[in-house]
Amino acid sequence: MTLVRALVVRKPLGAIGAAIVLILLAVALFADHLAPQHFNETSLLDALQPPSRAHWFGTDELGRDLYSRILYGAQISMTVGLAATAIAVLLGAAIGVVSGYFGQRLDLALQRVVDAWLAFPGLVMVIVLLVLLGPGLGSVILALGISQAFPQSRIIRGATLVVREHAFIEASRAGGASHGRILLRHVLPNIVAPIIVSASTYVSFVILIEAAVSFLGYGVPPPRPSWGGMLSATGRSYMVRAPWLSFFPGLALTLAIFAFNVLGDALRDLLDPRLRAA
Amino acid sequence: MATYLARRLVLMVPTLLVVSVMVFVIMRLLPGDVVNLMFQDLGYAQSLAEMRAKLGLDLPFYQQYGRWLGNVLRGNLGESLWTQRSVLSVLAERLPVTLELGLFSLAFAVVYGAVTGVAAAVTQDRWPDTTLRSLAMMFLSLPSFWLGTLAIVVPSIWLGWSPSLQLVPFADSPRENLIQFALPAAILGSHLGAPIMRMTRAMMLEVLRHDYVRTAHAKGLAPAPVLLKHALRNAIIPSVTIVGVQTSQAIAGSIVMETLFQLPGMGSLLVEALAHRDFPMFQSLVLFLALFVMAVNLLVDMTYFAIDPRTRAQVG
Repeated sequence: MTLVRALVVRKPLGAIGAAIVLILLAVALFADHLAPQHFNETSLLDALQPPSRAHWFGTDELGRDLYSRILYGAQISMTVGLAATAIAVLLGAAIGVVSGYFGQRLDLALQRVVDAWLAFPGLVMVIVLLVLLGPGLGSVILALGISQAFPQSRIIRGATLVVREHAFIEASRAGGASHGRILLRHVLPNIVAPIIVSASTYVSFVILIEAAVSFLGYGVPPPRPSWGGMLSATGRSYMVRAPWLSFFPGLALTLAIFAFNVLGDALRDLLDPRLRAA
Repeated sequence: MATYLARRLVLMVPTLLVVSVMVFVIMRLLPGDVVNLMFQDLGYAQSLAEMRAKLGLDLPFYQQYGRWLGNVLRGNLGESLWTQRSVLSVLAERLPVTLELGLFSLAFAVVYGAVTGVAAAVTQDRWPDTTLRSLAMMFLSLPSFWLGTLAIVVPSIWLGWSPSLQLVPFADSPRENLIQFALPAAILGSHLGAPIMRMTRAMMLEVLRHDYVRTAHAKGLAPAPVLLKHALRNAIIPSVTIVGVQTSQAIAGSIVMETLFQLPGMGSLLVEALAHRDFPMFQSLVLFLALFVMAVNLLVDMTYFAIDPRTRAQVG
């Protein structure tokens, strides 16, 4: 509760971000009730209509209501953003903690794998994973989660290296505690802050990358509407005749990324004053 | 410092080996058989088996890998399965486009980030600061492919003009070429520059509070040298680190920008090679890019020594 109050009082912009995030989550959850039409309800007679009272954001080349499709699009962006970040954080924490805590050869070996992964052009790696896993929402989540786990693990390894040197770790080891117990009871609780802070900045990044791969044609397959996907093929081929097709999905995307960005900034400032920087 | 450089170079070897194994294995795991696809499309052999043998894909995996790696080490990046052209010559053709786009974008990002970062720090909490920070947040949140789409659509609707979507080589017309790259580079650069701006501002605020800055001001030095020589030099290292990280983001960004502005660079080449399951092409390209990213990161770390003499002492 105190965090919510601190957010509203000390970080009004962050609070606005939080409000937008909540609205987007609600839209994603209740898209079925909020959208005037189903996302795939076609009506060729109404194709490429400009925004009007009947179709607030206009219609696409199959006569589907763009406003409805954008509301449904929130489902993909929110699901991918949150679920992929969760995977990245869990996997990244596992790799980072093990590498940082055990150190020595294991660390050296694991860090070469992380180095190799980070040297890959990131977007290409996501696309390769998507081809490997096959099309679908689950694949998108998994591919983004795995690819973001490695940069995340670097941050967590760094934090673990600092914690490892504390006297209380040595004390519990001397007291006969097992590695598993030390990791779970002593190391993890002390690195929760950097984990949350870095996770909050990942959500917007993941949403952006999902849109980018959808834009390139590797995202969640049609007819499911994804904001990035709407900007790709259809948006581009009808760009000049029907500019609303490329305008509204991009606006929705920008709003979501903006909301998570300012919320992430605010959370970082509130949770970790030492990291108050970029 | 020499030992540090040597250590870093030695560590690059296992990393590159891991990259090569990773990309080799992953390519073989992908669904879709290139020989089947090629047999249907090109059919320059009597049977699938013959085709496979011609391409050297009948050998066990470890032999294929050994052969590829051996060739790469001798400087032979292989041939495209599809076009039979050498990867090196295709690379020589496509690399300049991506390099031009990437360098332009990064240069834009660094200049924009450093200048507005310093300007915002100096005017902390006043209107220029607020404006520049909002602008950076906006650039950070705007997907570059959307901004690019709008940059193509909007002028064509209102002005009847749209950016050229046909590559003009620099040799043909330097002016046209630079104009063509300016728009995608500015779009990509504004996105890449926003974190640099935020980091520069934060670090400048930190440094400007120090006593030696106050002393410099007190002894009557002009504000500009104090800002640039005393403060910025001590504040810039984290921003330089960000530039290193952004090299690989610039590559990702150029894939998207090349698709949007139809520039025939490395990004579109990678996506094509992947779609065609062109093993040698894709593997060698990824290995090349990995080496490039690692080299840039090493270069970034080396610039620390130039900027901050204290770091030289730390590594011995």
